[in-house]
Amino acid sequence: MILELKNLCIDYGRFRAVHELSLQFEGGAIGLLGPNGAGKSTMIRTVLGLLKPSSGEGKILGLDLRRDSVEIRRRVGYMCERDSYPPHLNAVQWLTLLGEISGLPERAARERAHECLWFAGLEEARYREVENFSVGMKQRVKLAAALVHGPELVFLDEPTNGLDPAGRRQMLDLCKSLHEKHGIHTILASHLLPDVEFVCSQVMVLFKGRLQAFGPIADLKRSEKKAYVVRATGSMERFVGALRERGAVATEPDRKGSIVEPPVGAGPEFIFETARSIETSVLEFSIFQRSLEDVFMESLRAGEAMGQVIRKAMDAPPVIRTAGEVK
Amino acid sequence: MPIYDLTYRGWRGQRTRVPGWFPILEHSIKISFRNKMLKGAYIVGVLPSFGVCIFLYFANQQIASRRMPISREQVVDISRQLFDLPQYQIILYIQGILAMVVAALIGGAGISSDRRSNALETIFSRAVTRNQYLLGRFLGVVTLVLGATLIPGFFIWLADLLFSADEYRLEATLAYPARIAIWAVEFSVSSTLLVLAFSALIKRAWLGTAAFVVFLLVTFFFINALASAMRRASDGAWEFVRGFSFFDAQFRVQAWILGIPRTKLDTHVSLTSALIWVVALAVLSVFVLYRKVRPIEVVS
Repeated sequence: MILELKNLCIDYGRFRAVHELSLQFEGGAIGLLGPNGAGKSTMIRTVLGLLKPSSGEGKILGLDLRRDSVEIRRRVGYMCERDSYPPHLNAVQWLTLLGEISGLPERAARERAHECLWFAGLEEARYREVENFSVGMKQRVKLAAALVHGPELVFLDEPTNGLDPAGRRQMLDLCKSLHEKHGIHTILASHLLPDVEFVCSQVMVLFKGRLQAFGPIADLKRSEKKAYVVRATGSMERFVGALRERGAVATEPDRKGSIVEPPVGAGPEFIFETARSIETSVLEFSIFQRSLEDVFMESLRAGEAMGQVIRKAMDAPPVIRTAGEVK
Repeated sequence: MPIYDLTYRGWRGQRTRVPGWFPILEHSIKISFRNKMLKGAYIVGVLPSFGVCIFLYFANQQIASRRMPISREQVVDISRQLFDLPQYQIILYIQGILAMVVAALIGGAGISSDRRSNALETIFSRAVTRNQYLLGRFLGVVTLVLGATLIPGFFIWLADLLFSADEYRLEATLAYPARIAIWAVEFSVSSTLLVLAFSALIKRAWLGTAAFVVFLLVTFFFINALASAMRRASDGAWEFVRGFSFFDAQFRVQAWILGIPRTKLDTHVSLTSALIWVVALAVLSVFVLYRKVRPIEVVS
């Protein structure tokens, strides 16, 4: 098990940032999604051992979050979101220092610095001061810095921030290769859903400190209800109207067609029968799959609804019973 | 592992047992010596001790070349008048001030630049704790400041021994190296902690150095003005107040460590208040460092 959290709660003073977070990540590449303030950074800080959880337990690479924080950081890499490098140091010097801090011998740290900078595509710029790098190069240095000590698990926080389309694609390729080619488990925190979908096979959605969705992306995208994307010859409006008259749920048609959910008990043949009844024919027919964005937005809506229920319960005046009322 | 083979392999080798503060100490010293201004300050810092060595050589030559024969007691007297603890103190104090400049130059950029450039976020995501980071930074500065005080101090003592006309000079000054070493450690630790605290308080390196210098000068002038005003009103209190100027406090503590009797001191500073101020500033500096350098700050 790479990451195992059980009822983890994290508080900042009186404010609870993470509520009873429980999950088991067995390895691979997983996306960490959530709007600002969802608790992503807090979770990363806690997993890196920089924050002590208020309650609950957690293990990362078999190491206890509370007891083994230094050993965890020795074996885990972290690419932070903001720029982070000391002034007047070139890329090799910076990475060598980070390697040495992580326990690598000096010579090995220097070699690893070159190796990681080469991997990140900065072979030509290795001896330039990092503060003079372009935004894209700084992102690459941060990636190389996260890898210099040979971590088994790496956290990537918004790795494509500020990159142009070509640079973004290259960065995503690098991130994807970490797990696929080099066997480094990857946790990618991002607001960009296509990035997560490109790099990761699993996803977890955090909202207001609660885990809203967790699992393989393919499973989450699969709709619980059977729905189909349908396009027919002739007037789509007429076809959709006929479907609705016969009890189906259908969206307004657009260029791709309409998403149709047959009535309870009916199968896909219902759509073809309806087409025959109005003397039209089905041009395109496919099983409807939700996008990751749909999954994300649904998770947020579910989280918001749950939050309202909790808020209402908390706002309700407390029920005060007298001794006589207690049975 | 050959360096020309740059395909990504990861690291599966043995990790060293070196504590986390050691690479930070090493890095601090390396970075300091890349700074031309610091190199210059270091050289200038050692110059007074060379000047004293040359002075001792010529002065003792002068005594040795006297035509009239003089007794051993006279030689000892002349030697002591020429160069003994009060002279040691003045020279070492000047060395100390120069070492403080070195401390300000190195320490001023230490923590502030790491905080300002957000390098702490990446550093603390590695196998290093706050204590180790602070210890590494502290030792990085203190080592250099110690070098700028201890080495010149020993040079002067050696020159005093080598060139002295008194053949029993070693016996008379045997305790001096230990006293010089204790003073150098006290001075280096207290000035380094103060510089690092300013560095942690202010995110711009040069501003941290400037704030440190301003603090020293303002406390010196303000406390002395206050003490002068109090002198007319009270006899003992003004000496106590003077102990709260960093320069005066250091001078008094130095005299105490070197073993200079109060009767031979020109300065009117209470040892009690000087010691209180030196210790209080050190404790306050450690407190500031712990407040400002926090792993929690790194991702916020």
